[in-house]
Amino acid sequence: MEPTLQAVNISKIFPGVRALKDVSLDFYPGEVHALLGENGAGKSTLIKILSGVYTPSEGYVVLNGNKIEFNSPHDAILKGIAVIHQELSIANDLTVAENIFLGLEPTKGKLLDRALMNKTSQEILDFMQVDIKATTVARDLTVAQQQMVEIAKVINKKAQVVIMDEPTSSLSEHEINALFAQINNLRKNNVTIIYISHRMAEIFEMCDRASVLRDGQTIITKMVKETTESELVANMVGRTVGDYYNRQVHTRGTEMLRVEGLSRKGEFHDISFSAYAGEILGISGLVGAGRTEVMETVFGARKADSGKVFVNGEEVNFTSPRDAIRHKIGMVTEDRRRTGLMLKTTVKTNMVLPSVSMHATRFGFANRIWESNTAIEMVRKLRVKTPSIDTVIGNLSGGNQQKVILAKWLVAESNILILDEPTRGIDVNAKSEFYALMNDFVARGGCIIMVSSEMPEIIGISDRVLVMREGHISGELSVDEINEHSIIKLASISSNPDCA
Amino acid sequence: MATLEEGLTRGSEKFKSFAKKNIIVFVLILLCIGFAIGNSAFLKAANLINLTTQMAINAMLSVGLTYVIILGGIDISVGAVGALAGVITALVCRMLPAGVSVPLMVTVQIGMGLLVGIIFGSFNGYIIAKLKVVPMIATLASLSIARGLCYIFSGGTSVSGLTDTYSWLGASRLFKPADKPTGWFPVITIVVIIFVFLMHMLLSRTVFGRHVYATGSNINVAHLSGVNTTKITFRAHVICSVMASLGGVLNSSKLQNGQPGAMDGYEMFAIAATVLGGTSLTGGSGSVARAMIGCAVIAVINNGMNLMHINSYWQKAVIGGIILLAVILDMAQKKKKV
Repeated sequence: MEPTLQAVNISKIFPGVRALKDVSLDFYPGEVHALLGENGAGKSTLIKILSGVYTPSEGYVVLNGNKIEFNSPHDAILKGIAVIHQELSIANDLTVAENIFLGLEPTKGKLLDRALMNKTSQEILDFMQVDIKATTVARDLTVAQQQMVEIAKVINKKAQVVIMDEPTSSLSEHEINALFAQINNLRKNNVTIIYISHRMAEIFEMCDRASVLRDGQTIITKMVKETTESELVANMVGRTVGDYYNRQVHTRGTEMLRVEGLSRKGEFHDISFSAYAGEILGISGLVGAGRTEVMETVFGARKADSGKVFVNGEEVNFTSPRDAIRHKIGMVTEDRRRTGLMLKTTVKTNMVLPSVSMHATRFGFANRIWESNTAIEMVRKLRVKTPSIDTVIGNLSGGNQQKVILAKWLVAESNILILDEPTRGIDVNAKSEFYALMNDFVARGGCIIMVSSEMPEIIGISDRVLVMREGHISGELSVDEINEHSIIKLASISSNPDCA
Repeated sequence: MATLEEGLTRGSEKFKSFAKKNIIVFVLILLCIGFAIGNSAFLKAANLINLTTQMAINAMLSVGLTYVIILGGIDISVGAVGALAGVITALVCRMLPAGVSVPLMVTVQIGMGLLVGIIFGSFNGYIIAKLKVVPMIATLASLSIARGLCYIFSGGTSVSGLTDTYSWLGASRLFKPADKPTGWFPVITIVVIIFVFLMHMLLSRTVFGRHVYATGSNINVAHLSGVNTTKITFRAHVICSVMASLGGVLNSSKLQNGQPGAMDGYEMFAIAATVLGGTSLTGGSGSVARAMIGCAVIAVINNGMNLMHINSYWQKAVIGGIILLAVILDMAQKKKKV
């Protein structure tokens, strides 16, 4: 049998980063092919190349035996390659039929042929055996139903290849089964499905073959029947965790933060934990497990429905981040560009923002001498590579931007630091330097709570790990229990609890 | 190596941003040269002093607008709020006894200006900062409310019969030598300079100012860094309305009456001045001092066109064109960065 889609020796180089290195994969008709790998392994880059968002630096894509180049994502769609993203691309104010035909609207003369659109859409939905009316407005559908509309879109486009990125991340058990029925339908019609998921159980239930990517390379491709969960995980994690993290023995001090029974409807439930001086507490779990939401609530950026937070033994009730900052808590958010930096302003301005009011002189004047001295001192101390403290921060590299954000909280004299995906999108050296700064902070009696989706990072630097799953804390691991198997076991819905 | 690269981009960017920031200064100089050649009266001291009185009202409005535009907002009610302050102040001052002293008159005038400004600013601020209504729509509503109140309070006619004391603030001049009985230094110019200086210091040197820039740069970051963005937005709108209102009082004093239809369309001139001065409509950057250069450009264009006897109807059209040009330049700058 000929493969429908082939990636041939594909490499992708971004400035300073080699995202993919000589990746070759074949995808056959009627096959559900799982793509596995940790964050940053290169999965999304590969998908973007296969769907025409990026062009490969080296290598090429073959579709039905012909070498092809996509001019644009739209071109890829026309050639029969569809992507269903984790964030669904449904236009809320259009009807189901209008969504299904978006970009391919049938016309009668110059006018939209609404009747044909509704009729065809309903036929597809009926064929799928889902109870959705083509004339319903998409806003009124559940997420699961919207996903069905996405699949109807794919069927309507007569796609040969469907790429699904974490399709079950927001579905319930029952809805997942309905989705799998549709995937089986597509499989019967010889559609190729590339399936990306962190949930091992699904891989073993749905997929025919699985390929593991790590550090931009394909590590193995195996028939699912012939492999085990532990083999796949071992290949995903791979590298040995060495001195790169510069692991240090910290001495745990007094309790600095205690959370009791924190809940927020639809996000997390009954979260209780403590964090101590002199420790790095890692928070692991899948994307969407509620980790960020919990941390933002502790920081006062979201309001808890119930539960208590104690700082240094004293109960606090934060109504905004301002209160948390007063209690010497700082938070490095996961999205640097959106919630971490004022990109168009200077290094100095970013660094001193939370602290200007504390250092004001008479009549509320900002202390400009203090601002400059502090910024210069921090740039030296954290070795931020910047021409000056007045450089626009958007011009610095990700690693240096991240150092500035850390500096901002050091200037604010935080002694509890919440770091959400602190090394996302920064290069290896910058990561290593960042870990050193974290160790330094903890060695001086600070407390770090680090949310991370990067397994090696969690394993490499945490003194203790909490694992979250679907809004709950599913387990706690002490330093000698921290390994990839125990974390994955707690984080995912395992098909076979014994195998890990 | 990274440092070197960053250094290079910084170098070229420094030049670009210098050119961008100062282009308006060159424009101002060129305009002055042009009009000076066109009419020899332009550069005379008397005309230049006149010029400062002509830009005074617009300067007051632009100063306040700079604050809300840095926040990424807008206030189109400034003209109407100014007119309302003028009408109310005129009505109140008409009730004062005839022989009232200048200091008392000025106190009442400034007091009324502050009052109207604080009321409308709080109204705008509440609607925008608390109820999160889009600033354009919120201030469009207050524009209409303020203009309506102008006509209601004045009964639809100009409030006149005001004393010369009433016009001291807006129309009189200090330092009157024998050869120039009308005097040299207009009180209005001095008053405006004081307010501009205070507002410039407030924005550029205080913690409040830092928080205004932070909120305008990235409201999420500001909030997560402990800035009370609601309070900052509220206060900026109060400042904007107070400045507009005081501008209206000066205008009313200058004309020695309270006209319900005064300052119609002045928001356009003020927005133009602010944007010409390099304050970005998307927020995050700008300065009071630069808005003043924008004001000067508009005043020079108007003054020059007057001296050259160009129909005053043309002035509005020209200013409209200039706003458009300034905004397009601002947007082009934004696009390049993305």
